[in-house]
Amino acid sequence: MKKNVFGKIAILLLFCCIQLTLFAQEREVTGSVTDPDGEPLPGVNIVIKGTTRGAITDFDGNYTLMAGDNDVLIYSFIGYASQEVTIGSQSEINIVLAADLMELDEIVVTGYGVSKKSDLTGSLASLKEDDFNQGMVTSPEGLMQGRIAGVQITSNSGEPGSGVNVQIRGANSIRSNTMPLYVVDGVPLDIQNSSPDGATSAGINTAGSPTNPLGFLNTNDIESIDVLKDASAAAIYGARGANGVVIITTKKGKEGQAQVSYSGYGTVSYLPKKIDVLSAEEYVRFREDSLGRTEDHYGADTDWQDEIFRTAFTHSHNVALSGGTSKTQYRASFGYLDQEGIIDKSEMQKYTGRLNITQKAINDKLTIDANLTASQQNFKRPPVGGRTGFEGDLLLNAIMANPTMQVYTDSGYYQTTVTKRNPRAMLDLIDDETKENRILGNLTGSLEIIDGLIFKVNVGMDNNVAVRRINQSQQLNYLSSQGGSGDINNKELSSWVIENTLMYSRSFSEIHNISLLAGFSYQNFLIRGYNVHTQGYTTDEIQYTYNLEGSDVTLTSPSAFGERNELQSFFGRLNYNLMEKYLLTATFRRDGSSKFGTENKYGNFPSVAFAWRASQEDFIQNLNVFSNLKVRIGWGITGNQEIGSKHSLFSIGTSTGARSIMDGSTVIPGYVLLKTPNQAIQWESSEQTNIGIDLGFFSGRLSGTVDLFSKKTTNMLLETSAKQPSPTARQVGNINGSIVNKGIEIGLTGYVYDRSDFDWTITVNFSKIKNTVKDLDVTQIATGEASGQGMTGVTTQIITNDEPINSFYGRRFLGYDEDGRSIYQDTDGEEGDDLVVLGSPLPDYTFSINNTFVYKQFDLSFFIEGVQGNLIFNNTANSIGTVGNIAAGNNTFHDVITSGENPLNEVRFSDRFLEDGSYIRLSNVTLGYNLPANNIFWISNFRVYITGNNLFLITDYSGYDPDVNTDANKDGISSLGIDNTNYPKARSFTLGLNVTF
Amino acid sequence: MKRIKNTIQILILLFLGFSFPACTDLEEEILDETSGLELINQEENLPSLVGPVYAALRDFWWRQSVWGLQEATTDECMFPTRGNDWYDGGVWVEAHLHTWSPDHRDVRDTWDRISTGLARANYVLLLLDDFEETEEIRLYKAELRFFRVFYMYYFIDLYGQCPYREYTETDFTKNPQIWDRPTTFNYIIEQTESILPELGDKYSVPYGRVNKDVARMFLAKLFLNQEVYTDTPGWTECVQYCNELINSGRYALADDYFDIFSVENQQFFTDNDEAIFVSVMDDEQDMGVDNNVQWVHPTLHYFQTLGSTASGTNYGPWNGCVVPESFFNKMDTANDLRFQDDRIKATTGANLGFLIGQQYDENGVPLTTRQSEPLIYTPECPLSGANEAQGVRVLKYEPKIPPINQARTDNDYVIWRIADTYLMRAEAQFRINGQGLDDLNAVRTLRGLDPLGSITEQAIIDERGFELYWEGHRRQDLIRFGMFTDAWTEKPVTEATKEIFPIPQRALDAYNDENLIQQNPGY
Repeated sequence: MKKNVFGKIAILLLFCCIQLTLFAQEREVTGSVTDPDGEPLPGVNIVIKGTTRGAITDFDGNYTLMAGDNDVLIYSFIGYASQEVTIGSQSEINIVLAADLMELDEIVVTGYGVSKKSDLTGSLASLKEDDFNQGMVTSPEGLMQGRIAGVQITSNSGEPGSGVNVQIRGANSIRSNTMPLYVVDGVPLDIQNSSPDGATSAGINTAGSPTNPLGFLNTNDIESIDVLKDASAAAIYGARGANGVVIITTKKGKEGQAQVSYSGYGTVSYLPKKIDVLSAEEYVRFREDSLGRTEDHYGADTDWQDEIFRTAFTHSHNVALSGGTSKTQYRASFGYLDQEGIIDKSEMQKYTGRLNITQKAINDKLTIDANLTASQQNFKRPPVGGRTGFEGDLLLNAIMANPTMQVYTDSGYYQTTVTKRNPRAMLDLIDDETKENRILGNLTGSLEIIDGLIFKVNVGMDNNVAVRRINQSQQLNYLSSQGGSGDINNKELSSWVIENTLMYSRSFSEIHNISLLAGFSYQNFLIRGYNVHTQGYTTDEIQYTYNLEGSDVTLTSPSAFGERNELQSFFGRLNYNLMEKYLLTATFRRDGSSKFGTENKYGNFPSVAFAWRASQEDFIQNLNVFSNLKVRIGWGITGNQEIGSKHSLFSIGTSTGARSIMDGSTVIPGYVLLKTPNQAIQWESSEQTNIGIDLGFFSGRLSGTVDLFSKKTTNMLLETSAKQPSPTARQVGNINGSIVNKGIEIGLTGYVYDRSDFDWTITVNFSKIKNTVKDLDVTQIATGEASGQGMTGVTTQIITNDEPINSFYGRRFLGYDEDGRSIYQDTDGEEGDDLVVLGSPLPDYTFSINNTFVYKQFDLSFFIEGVQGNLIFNNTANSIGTVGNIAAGNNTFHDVITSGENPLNEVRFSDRFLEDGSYIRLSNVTLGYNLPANNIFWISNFRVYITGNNLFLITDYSGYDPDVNTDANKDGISSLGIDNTNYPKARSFTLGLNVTF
Repeated sequence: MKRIKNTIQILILLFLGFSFPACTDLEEEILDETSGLELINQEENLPSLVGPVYAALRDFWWRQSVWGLQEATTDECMFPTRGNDWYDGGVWVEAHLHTWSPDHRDVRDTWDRISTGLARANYVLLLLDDFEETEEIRLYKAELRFFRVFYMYYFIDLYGQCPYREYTETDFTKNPQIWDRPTTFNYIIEQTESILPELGDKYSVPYGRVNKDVARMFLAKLFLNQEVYTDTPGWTECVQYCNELINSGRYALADDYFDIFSVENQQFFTDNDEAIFVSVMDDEQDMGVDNNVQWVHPTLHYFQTLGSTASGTNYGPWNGCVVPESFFNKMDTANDLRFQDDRIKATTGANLGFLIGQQYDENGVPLTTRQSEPLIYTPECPLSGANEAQGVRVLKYEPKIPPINQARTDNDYVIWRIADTYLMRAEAQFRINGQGLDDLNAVRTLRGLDPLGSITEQAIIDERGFELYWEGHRRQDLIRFGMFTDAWTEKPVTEATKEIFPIPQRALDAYNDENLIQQNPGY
């Protein structure tokens, strides 16, 4: 049988072989490849242009292949400039490859166009596929985490498919959800939280953290990610550029033979570290000996964290077909991902399909690109996260559940008490499922009208429909009396965009290069949805959300929402390049948004930048020090409009709290003003200045970029107290004050060793940002709402003048008095505790180091990232780490039982639960093996690799992971650095395979 | 030929490109709300427009709002901290010790609630101006005008200053006027007296709505407190309006005290004439967080579930507020019918009124604390670090067992009732000429106590406490008697400036004009 299979493969191979070799009269071509010093270069790729055939040089730099007279050979090797040679009559072709370590002519994507890296005037970071993070990376942001100086990415949670917080050059805005603008193949995405609301039930807000709005993209389809960091780069996106712009370009088909590639991996992941709590024996001993408590000791010894965590398995398979002729290129891909979360039952399944087609016509003057992505994501979410009351979510309960309780009683049912939840029951009896379907498509036509004048139209649409079904069984002890609950929540986001641009480029007198861009853009957004909450079920036989009519319909509460808004823009850009030495870029964008008041609908966003390529000057070249030296200086203004709608209009809607009884008996809906209108509302804007130097030494062996920037956000849009009496207590408006981020970013790449069969490359990124709030005309703005017993309404952070945004603000904890009660620092000598600024959740600096070694066909890379000097409020510890908590029958930490705290001591927010969040993480180690091309002639690329993610972590932080950011916003004012029962990050090992045929 | 073809293609492309949206005027389209004009053109929507003005008032009667400020700051109610529980950033301790700041949560949020009520009354009046003035509209307008001044009264009572806007003002980016207590007081009196004839009569307007008698009671209350607001007493006017109510024949003291607070008290108020003004509640529909059974789950011990597996929210009650010992000790526990009542004992294991001593479940089994010790409520209770069982609890409104929804109540909240009117008249009469004993004794004897032989200041304030405990009047009463700043069980003597709450800092920040509004003295 086996033999038979072999036979079939052999026939197949033979067939392929015939297919490939049928066409031309071929003969042997040999030669060698060396570097400029005459050293042989092994491993150089040689491909016959337009095919996938070729060869690779051996240890001595020699090669042999079959080719015809008309074939063109392409020689390429990392770090060297590629060369093309037509064979003609030659039978021996020896090549000297010139070093090209600088990658100066790398093409990067800017807004509405592309540019050579050497022509850039602004601060832009570009990542290609080789630079991406490897292993189990399921979202585009994950590809770039830690890889770009000045871009800080923190996980909202370790839950499969959860969102991340991306900050480009510091915290610029007070509002929550201030994400950069994402542009996928020219379509600016509507980055709203696409996840429908959760169901609030009995102290648990199962909303959790929102899902990742970019999760619908298959990371395997992404070719490059370009981040526009400074204003001169981002200002072309005007009103939406203030938080930076991330441009994602997907892979396209290339001219040449059809390729089929497969990539897949399997990952095993698990919880790296449990929270250390008391064992059953310690728990009982402390309670009996020190507290004199004996109640609720059930005799079991349960490790509740073990009951909810698991070793999870993830697998992913992607198939892509691509190819094309000189007129038509295509790429189609299909991806499947099944990711299990490390908390039992949590899971994400993702199906993505993508099609990119490029067609040229009219003598190649017309190019049409069509891109289409369709995806489906299915989430199973555990009841983790969100705001928990003192009863706690799944994780809090798993950490603090009484260890003497059994999972199941002897009668086989979940053990609970009147006041305690059973974590396993919560996991088993809550079913929270979300299905999200997204379609993103665009069609671009670009036409060269006359030489150098290109007209381009881009039409795109984006539609996301998500439905969430949450069943919370009446068998849960805390939901039995209300008969469980069933929720179906729906959310639909859609937008469409049309953009017209006209671009003209021309050279004059050889030394003046000018390119001009003018454009118009219109985008229309729709958000709508509905929520249906039911309860009062009498049977679990049919899942509630399939049996809404089985609920007590008098207790059903439906709600719905919808809004539509528009954005219209005019923009232009001038690039002027004088003698390849002096570069000038000026952009201007005028944006109009329907969100703003009549007087301020439009905002203007200019920028200008200048660069000097000093290394092109003779006197610099004569120094023989720099292989590259460029100085850049830029200034610009960008804006922000992400405030939701309906803030400038007088309009009326309903709310449950406005219902009333006007005839003595009937409840009727109430129509009220839901917002206090503000006709004067206008754009928030950020003004940014950037000075940068690009450097290269030793023929590009060491290169780097240093950027200094200062960014000032003013006219901040915020919902603050209205001038009451007003229809609502709060009103959205522009507040006086500014947030200033000043920072330095350094990126260095060193080719430490690159001889013959061994390469070693080091890349280092470093960034330091100082954040200060200034000129605020209110005393302070509080945010960072704490959760837990006795913490209702307590805020932990303030935004106040001369301090970093979101500074922790509270009492300074000094220890316990002889009675075991907290003593707090008295700073003003008067009676009463004093609240002081306790520190900042923003890091002093962040850094990353990547090492890559290539030895023959093997490569090894390890990636280390670090964050230094930030504080984290460990809200979980605040809920659990008190003697009062163990006295109340919950588990606690070891240091608590020796602290001498009085069980009746009150919890106040203080620096007692503030911890240093600094860490150094070995976040990625990859060992790969590439099969030499042509070893098996029908495979053009074959790679196997093993990756370890999050392999070790050096930190003093006592929670699961210091890379954490639980949303604890208050009234829409964002919080930072708060950890409240966050779904922990996994450690994982991945075995992967990439093959291209 | 080829060239023409190319040109055509170019033209088509250009046409396609630019024909899509020619510049738009960026009108925002709102799908889930409306400008109000369509709504108010439809007469059947009128109750839904006016109703939210009433709904804002319903919001006052929970522990973090007007009710909490009027009660948790006094000698008859406090929220002790029990270990971690009920600390809530210190709000309850500060409330009871009078150490609140301009950032105190409930001081802050209550300002917002009153403002919302006032603003709703304003803009609904404005909306109704577009209507042809029918009888129905005229009545609604009178109610709305009443609510404007009614909400202004809460501003001056709690904060001593009142932000004022004409109801026609719609530019909320401009500051309002700020009025002091005497100005506001005089405006309220003048307005209420002119509105009174416009309002409907009791029985002719639906239950729960403002009628002439509500306005009369409001005026009586205002004059009762006039000296506090303006330094000039208004006792005579107070007596006059109390007389109008008591002598009207439309009201009578309820024989059964706890019927006033029963689940079906609406039924009771239609047969009996105790209540003057109520907030109507309904437990069958979600009406926001505001219709909680405010005194069932905040006060009872976690395990005192009254026979429902999950009475109160979630598991059970929250073990919060208690009666301070000094107040409890004043009660005649042997005779006073208001002290305890056993009508729900058989079904819930608990009594109505004051809960003290060993507590039982619905089967008569003694309850325990979480430490498995007997659950015995004791009068002694520290403000900080109380044990689970310390503190006497109050179950005044009858709990519904089982509740339809744990967070809702069907009992209507009694804002003003005729017993209060009797005691007010007693007090005003006492201030005028030392009389008033008959009114005081009328209430006392009905509640099982012996009549007093003479009337004293102390007797009046004590009787108000026994009759009206936990009904949201105590702070105002104590201030009028000069007793708010006195020391009691857990509280030392406090400064007179604490009789007025501070203006919330964030409100001051929003106005941002020191010439317009200054912080109250002492903060």
